[in-house]
Amino acid sequence: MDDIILRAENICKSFGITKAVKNVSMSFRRGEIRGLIGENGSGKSTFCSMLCGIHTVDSGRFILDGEELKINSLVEANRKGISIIVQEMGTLPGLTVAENIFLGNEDRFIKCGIKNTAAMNQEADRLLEKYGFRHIRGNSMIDNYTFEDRKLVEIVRATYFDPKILVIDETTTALSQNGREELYKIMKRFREEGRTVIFISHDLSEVIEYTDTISVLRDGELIDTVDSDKVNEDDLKRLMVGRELKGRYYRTDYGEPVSDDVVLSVEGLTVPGEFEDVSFKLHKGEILGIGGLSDCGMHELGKAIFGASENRRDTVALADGTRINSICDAIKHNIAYTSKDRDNESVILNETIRNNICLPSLDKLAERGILRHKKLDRFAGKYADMIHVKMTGINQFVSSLSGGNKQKVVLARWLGRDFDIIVLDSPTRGIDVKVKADIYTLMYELKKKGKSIILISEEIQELMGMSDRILIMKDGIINGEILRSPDLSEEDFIAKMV
Amino acid sequence: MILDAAAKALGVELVYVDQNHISEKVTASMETLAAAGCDGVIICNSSSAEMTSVINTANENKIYVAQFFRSINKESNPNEYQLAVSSPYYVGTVHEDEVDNGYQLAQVLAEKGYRKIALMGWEPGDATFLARWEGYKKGVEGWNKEHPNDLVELLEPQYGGTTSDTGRATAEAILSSNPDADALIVAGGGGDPLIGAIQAIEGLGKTGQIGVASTDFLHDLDVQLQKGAITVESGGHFADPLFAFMMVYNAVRGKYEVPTDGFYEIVFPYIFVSSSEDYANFQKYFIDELPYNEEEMKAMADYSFDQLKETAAKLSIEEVMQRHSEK
Amino acid sequence: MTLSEKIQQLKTHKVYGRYYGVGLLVMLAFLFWAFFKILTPDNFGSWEALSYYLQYSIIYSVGACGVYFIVTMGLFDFSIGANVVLSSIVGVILSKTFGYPGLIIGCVITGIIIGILNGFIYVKLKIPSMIVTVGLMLIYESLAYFVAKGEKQSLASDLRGLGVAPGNIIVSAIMFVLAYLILKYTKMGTYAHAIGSNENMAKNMGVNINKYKVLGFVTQHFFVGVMAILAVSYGTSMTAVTEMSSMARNFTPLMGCFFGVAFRKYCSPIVAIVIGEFIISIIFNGFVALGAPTTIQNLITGAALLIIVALTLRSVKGTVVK
Repeated sequence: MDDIILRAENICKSFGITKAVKNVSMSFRRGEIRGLIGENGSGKSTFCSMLCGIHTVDSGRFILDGEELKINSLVEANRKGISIIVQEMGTLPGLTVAENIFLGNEDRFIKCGIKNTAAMNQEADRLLEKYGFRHIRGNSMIDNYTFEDRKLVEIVRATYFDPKILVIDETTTALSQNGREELYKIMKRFREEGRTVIFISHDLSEVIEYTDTISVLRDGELIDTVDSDKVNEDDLKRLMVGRELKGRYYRTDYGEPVSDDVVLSVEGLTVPGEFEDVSFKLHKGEILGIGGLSDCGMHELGKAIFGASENRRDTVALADGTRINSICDAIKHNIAYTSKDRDNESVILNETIRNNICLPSLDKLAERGILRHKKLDRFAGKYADMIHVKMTGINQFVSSLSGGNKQKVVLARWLGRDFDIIVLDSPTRGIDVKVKADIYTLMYELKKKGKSIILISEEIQELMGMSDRILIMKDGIINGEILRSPDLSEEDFIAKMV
Repeated sequence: MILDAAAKALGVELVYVDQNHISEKVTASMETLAAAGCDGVIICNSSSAEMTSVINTANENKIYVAQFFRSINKESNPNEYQLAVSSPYYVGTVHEDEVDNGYQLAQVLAEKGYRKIALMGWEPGDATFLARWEGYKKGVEGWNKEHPNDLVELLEPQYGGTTSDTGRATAEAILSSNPDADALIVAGGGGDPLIGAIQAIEGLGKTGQIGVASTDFLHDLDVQLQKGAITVESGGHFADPLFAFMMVYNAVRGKYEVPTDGFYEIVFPYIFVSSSEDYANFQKYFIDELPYNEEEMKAMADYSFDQLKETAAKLSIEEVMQRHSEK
Repeated sequence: MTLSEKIQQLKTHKVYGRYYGVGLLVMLAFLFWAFFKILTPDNFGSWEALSYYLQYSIIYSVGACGVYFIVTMGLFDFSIGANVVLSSIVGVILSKTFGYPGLIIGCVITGIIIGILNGFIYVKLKIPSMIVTVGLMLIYESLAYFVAKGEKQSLASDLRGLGVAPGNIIVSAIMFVLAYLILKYTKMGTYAHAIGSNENMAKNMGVNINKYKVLGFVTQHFFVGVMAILAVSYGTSMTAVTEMSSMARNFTPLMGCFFGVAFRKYCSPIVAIVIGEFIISIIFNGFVALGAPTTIQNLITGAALLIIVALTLRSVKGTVVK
């Protein structure tokens, strides 16, 4: 049997004038786990979406098991033995777990138009048991499960029919450590069974650890394919950005004192069921990190500080005692917020970059209640350029931007508002290394200007690298405080997190 | 049909516009007819408020206009009333006395021995219903005044809409809530609620036991009368527009001078049918033939207003029988 | 334990949890009945009267079962009432020659044709369903007027068996079972929810969106065609209306459908629809028994609907609700 299961020959894809994939040719072996990395906009997701039938191929072809692949939908791809776990939410609320697993493939349970629901539920339960997800039941509504559990259901859906090729597209960022472990197990099983995995991730250490080979894309072109055990992160970063990324992209300063001026005071803050009795003070020009496991309550804390929690108790107050009780209060007093759920809570996908940037500033941009487009264009253009948003123009829709550029749009919006305090929740999630570096640089510049930042992150390295001080949360309470130091190690954090 | 016959008899061209009692359409229909070059218009409006624009359009275009089946109430619409009074082109109105209609129906029921009368309207606040309701109440009050030891009770109205299924459901609800009710007045609503109500009574097994009164004749009234499903109905006033037509016709010809301190008014009588015999005669003299033949219509065109008014007032089954069976 | 916690425990109980929704609805029906019964014991709510309330409500329950498919998909259809009018007029006219088969086939086939037209025009023209169905409603109303030649259509007295028990109950029961089976045991049921949840994702999963939307309209109007049979058999006559007057007939089945949507998490939506319409009928008859004006009835019915749905849905604070 030919060792090569899949060949991509001169694959090209354009979206309008943007060439997303340019003449990419690659081969994949049976039993291989191939990492696929690149900056946002490098073409890796587009390449995989063509392989899975979500997008059509402009030119070139895929050869699967010696036969040219001609597919027009994900279901057809599934039938050919190709499957994908997507980055965003890939299950449908309002349906049961079993219905989600077999969506589009119900025919095996249908006789004379009648669906054998009991058999479908039974089969779903058997699969969930096989995968070790015993707490998930086939006949339950998917709405009853957490985001992570729904991702697990997606994993089952994508893999239960033992596809020849499994594409995992930046899924691990959505999973807790347990969830990731399950996924790694599946990847290893695939390898052992001679199946192929294409693993897309921005976490370079993860890619190095769990893959056999790594292909690097840049600006739609294949740069190189390397053996995972022969490269390190810096090598990969160099391949991704095309130049040496000199030094580390985190802050390199240590020992700089933080101002004593308190800008924000949080006292006994509680959101029932999420976190309890959190108190701290934020100082001028300080980057205060908040870290912990994904369900420790820190993300909900970020929302609560911004006034976005419905049943929050006790206080968030500015230095002058002004209480922040709502989002309107927060914005009025120059507090900004970027959510972890970027696509649903930070950007309006079906709107232009201009409108997204201008949105919280419309009151100051309006002249006697009238908005002048030229003024909005200038305003948005200024801040988009300041932060180097990669775009075709200010009227480009945000939905067509990469994740990193969407995040830049969010930051540009708040720069336009000239915030004093910003709560950044997972600001570099799902973002490539180059944009991460840009964001870290921006954070440091803002700190130097006296802006105060609350950085909420699940990435310990990021917290260690960027924060003046870090609060560790566990099970909804503050479990420890660590000051910035070059001698910090991950173990210092883990001890307080778990 | 009667208008077509009159138009044919008198050599008049008729144009019809259906505005379905939608306010803006009523207004628009007047403008449409003015633009079409009509000399006169007879109109059945939806609400009195529309008459402001109708009369203004008439004044501007020098078109004579009269209302049929409707009038403008002096107390509740004083502005429109004044405009009508002072307009040289608003000829007048032919309308029914709904209060008297209601009074008569209630009296007939009382006379026939019904003592607890339920009431089903079609839409709360409808002007026609309110007028009839006033009549029902007066009829019952009148009876009770003369028969203090044999009182009749009239219940508060419920509303059954204008469809047969909602009419039936409401009638069922009314009658099951008032099991001792022995009569039901279905005030109107186009006929379908009455059909539904009859079904409701039939479903309860009380056809013939519960007296039913209504306005606007059913197409199978004779059958319902025979079954005892209906006790009395008023209706047959389809000749009302004929008199409005005559008023406008004579105004256009200059025979009737339209005053600017008043207008012509004809109160048109309902026909009351409470037996199969009544209905048979109605069928013969009003449906199979028109109550006025061509000759009579030509003669009517030359009547003075008072003669026209008198002619309308005396219209009844007996009157037509007399006129037409003599011939 | 707080009340919320107790309710949550009940909802998730191994044995009782599955009956939570039905239990809640039955309890609500009982509470409304008891309320009026206490206020006016002699003329409300006897067994016989309850039977009338039910027989009236099941007409709209049948329609609501069909409407559920469209509402679940996130679509609108304003031509429900126009269907009832046109289908029943066609049915009555055909019944004059062909008796019951004419009535049944006339109503059902007219309903199905309306469903096909609605679905086909919607997917082909790619205009919002609200606009398409308002336009088509006007057309169906006019068609009904032409077909009926402007005359009231009355059903012959020997063809009214489906307007009374047991005819109406048998027909309704068949339709409820059919709706339940379609929702639970066919792809139509799954895909209606999938399309309503996330149409793009459903499309990516290989669901033929347009096909199932058309099927959704056809299914809805098939059920509404049967509702027309029951409505005209119950009322025994139908008059063609114009100027969107048929829209008044949209709302009662829609209200029942809302019960189905609200209670879907807890029980079969069909059960919720039937009980929900029955509750509406109880409220209506209760107020008639009290002699309350129609305006108060409508106010209370509307308020009851809002309260029941709000308490049942209990969206999490901060959830976006449209």
